Parts: sequence; structure tokens; C-alpha cells
Amino acid sequence: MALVIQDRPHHQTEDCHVARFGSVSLCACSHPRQVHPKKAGIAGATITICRGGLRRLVSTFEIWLGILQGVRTTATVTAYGLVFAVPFALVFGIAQFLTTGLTRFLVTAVIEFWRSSAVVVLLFVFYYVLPVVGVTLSALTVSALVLGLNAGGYASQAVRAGLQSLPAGQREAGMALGLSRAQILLLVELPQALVAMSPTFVNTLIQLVKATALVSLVTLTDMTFRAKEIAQTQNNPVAIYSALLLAFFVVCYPITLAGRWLEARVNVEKGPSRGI
Amino acid sequence: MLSPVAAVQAEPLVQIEGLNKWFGALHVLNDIDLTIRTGARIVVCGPSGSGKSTLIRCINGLERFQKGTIQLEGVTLGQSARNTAVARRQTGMVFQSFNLFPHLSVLANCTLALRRVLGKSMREAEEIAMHQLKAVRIPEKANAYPGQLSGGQQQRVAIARALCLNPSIILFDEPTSALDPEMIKEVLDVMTALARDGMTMVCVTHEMAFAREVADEVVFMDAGRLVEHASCEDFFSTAVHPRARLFLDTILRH
Repeated sequence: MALVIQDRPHHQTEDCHVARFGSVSLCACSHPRQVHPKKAGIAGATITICRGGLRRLVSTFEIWLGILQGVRTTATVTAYGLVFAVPFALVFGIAQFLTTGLTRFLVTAVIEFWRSSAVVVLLFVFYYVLPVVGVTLSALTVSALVLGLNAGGYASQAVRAGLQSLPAGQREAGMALGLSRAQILLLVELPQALVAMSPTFVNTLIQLVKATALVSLVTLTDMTFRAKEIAQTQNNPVAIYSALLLAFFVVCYPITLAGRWLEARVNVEKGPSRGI
Repeated sequence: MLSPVAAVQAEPLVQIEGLNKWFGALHVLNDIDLTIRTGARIVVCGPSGSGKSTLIRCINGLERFQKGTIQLEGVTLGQSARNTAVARRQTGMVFQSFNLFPHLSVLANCTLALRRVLGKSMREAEEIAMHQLKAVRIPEKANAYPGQLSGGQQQRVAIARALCLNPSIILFDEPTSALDPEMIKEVLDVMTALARDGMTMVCVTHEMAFAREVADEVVFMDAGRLVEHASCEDFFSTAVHPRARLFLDTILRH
């Protein structure tokens, strides 16, 4: 992806500077709120920035770089969040698959707590309420815990569904060969289920990255927090929040591409007639 | 027809007595008594839903049962799951839908239990597996994945996988029912060769030509009951139970 800045005849008398970044066009021209009808249809987001031409565009780029200073926090929360999400998804997904009755009810209850609560509310509860009862966690830990277990709750359902979707014959074949239940799970069922579900895990990862936008609410300096900081010094909301949008896109799109690559590989390995 | 096994001397390998099983209200196995001698080649036939598959799945503990006993080489499989590990080590099973592990190569399918259950080294396990793959005439596919094989090839690999553990009895659960007609022969040929080598086998099948050629005993089941148990010759010529007669008349006409 290359950033191309070009002068281009516009629908009105003045020239307009268009920057193309992937499928997002930034149109910097002197007539705000008016969007070229064709361009509005073609480009995913045509954003009109107020007067000042190329210089404005450069300042938008600077804002964008400023926002990207928060990418480190975003990455840290995501990585730390995965430390919670991955074990939670595996342990609870497998537990939900294997258990029955009351145990299964309890396992499901824990999953549903993390999956069905509003992340923002959980962040506030863990950051502001827990200290009242004597438990003080750092903003980073709270963020990673809440976002990680929320994403882990979703991923646990993918783990369970992946295991459940395997034909019963796989388990029976393992049993007939004398493998123990644990061996069947580790050597036969999980390898197949996790590979089949890997595209879903990529989706959950992207959701986790995007959810980090909320951690600015508990004082972490992530990309969203940086954007708000910049917004306090410059009255330029369009440029700032467009740049934030772009920043998240730049972080998440490579993960999407990696997921697509993974999905293609998974489908190849399935072979021509995996059905039976 | 193969030479009959010396029936009198051979020891009972499996002894089933008073076996009863219910799926809810459905009485799927009703007072089954059956003795399987070492070296026996038994074909189990009967209409759909008569309990054939359930019967052989009880022998290796894939199905629990509520009443009766199964003795396998002197080890009693009760209603509990206690001795199922022993039972599974001594029995091999071949399924209708092959049930190969699609994420493992043919060779890895065969070596998995050798290594993880019997604790053999990689090299030893691969030697045994290659030997069995040669026996089912498919050694060239050792590194292929199940999804790349035809149904007949997959079923032959499944037979090799079961043989790797050197079972004292091998159970076939409709091994050719999921196959295209032209692939049935290659699987039956492998099974016939196995029978000639003296392997004890119990086979649920509708392949009556195979039964005639290979089996020395035929068991006929209907509605959960074992209604006819005869030598192969007697079964085809003089089956007495009317349900068995009707079954034979229908199936042999085709």
C-alpha cells in the first residue's frame, strides 16, 4: 500500500487533494460536507477535510503518527489479553464439551458471565469497584483480564463447537484402538477441531484488538486515548477520528489477511473427500 | 469354501452369556448366547435394526449392556467399564465409515496406537505399520492422507490399522456397506486373505457371497434375538427359522 497524493480535477472549480490508502480515500479540499457523488459510491470512506489543501493533509498524517504512538499499548493489551483468552477458551471449551449435568451448568455459567456482560461495564467494575473490597489491579491487568476473558468466552464456544462437530466415529475409532479418553482428546479430536476453527479464532483476535479501544476509559494510553489527547490540543475532530479509524484498520487488516491465508491452508489440508 | 476349523479342540475366545441391552424402552439385545472359538470366521447377518452392530460393539466395550456377561480370553467384561481397556487391546475393529483420522497420514494412523498404547518406538511402530500396509497391498500410500484415498483404499488402511495391534479377534461392522460396488471386491479380497491366515473374525455384513466363501459359521439375528446359529453350509441349505428363510430368499434372489 502506497500513500499517493495527487492533484485531481474536481467536481467544482477548485482542485482537491486525494490521498489513497488501501481502499480508504482521504479527500482534502476546500468545500467541506460536499462529497463527490461518484467517489462516495466507489470509495469505502471519502472524508472531506476542511480548508488548507495539502498542508492540512500533511497535518492529518502527523495526527495519524501521533495516534500510532498508542499502538504499543494496544499491542500490549492485546498480547496480555491473549494470555487470558487462550487458556480460558481451551479449558472452558473442552470442559463444556466433556462435562454433563451440574458441572456443565457451572462451566456454562462462567462462560456466559464473560461472554454476555458488557465489556465497558466489566472494565469499570474491575477497575473502580474491586479496590473498594481491597483488590487493586493495574489498569493494564484489568484491561487484559476483562477483554481477554470476554474474547476467550467467545473462542471457547468455537472450541466446543469444533469438538462437537467431529463425527462420533473419530472417538469410537480411538476407543477401539485402546486410546484413553485424554489421548483421544489430545491426539484425535483437538488437532482436528482447532484447525477447523482457526478462521473463527482469527475473527476473535480481531475483535480483541478492536475492543482495546475501550481501555482508554481506564486511563491507558492506547490509540483511542492518544486521539482524545490530540483532540484536546487541536480542534480538528474530522482529521483526528478519521486518522484513528485508519490506524485501527492498519493494525487489523494484516490480521485479516493472515486469517485468509490460514483459512486457505486449512481448506487445502482437508483434502478432496474428507466427508467420511 | 475354506477348510473348516477343527471346531472341537479350539478354545472359546469369546463367550457371551445372557446378554441383554436396552436403548430406553427398546430391547436391542435379547438374551444373546454366543461362543466364538479361536480361529472362527463368523458372519452375522439379519435385517436392519436387528442388533447385529450393537452385538459386536459390546464385545469391545463400545456399547455398555445391562445384563449378562462377556468373557474375552478369560477376562470378564461386566456391565462396568472396568475391563474395557483389556478388551480393546485384544480386539480390532473395522467400521462401516472407516473412521480414519483425517489429520494424520496413513502411516501415522497405523502407528498412533502402537506408540501411544503399546509404547513402541517410532521405528518399531513404523516397521509394524509398513508390514501391515503391505499385507493390505497399499504400502505406496503410507504418506498420503485419508482424504486423498478412495473408499476402498481407506477401508484397507483401516484394516491395517486394526491389525497393527496384533488383536486376537477382529470385528467388522458392515465393512463394505459404504463402498461403491467396484471397491467392495478389493476390501473383501483383503478380508478373505485374512481369514486364510487363520484370523478369528466376526463380520456383520450383507455380502452373502462372501459369507459363503469365507465364513464357517453364520449367525442370524432378528429383533434383538439370535434366532439361528449354524455352520455356513447348514445355514444356506437348511436354515429353519422362518425369518431367516425369508431373509435368505430375499437376499439370494438378487
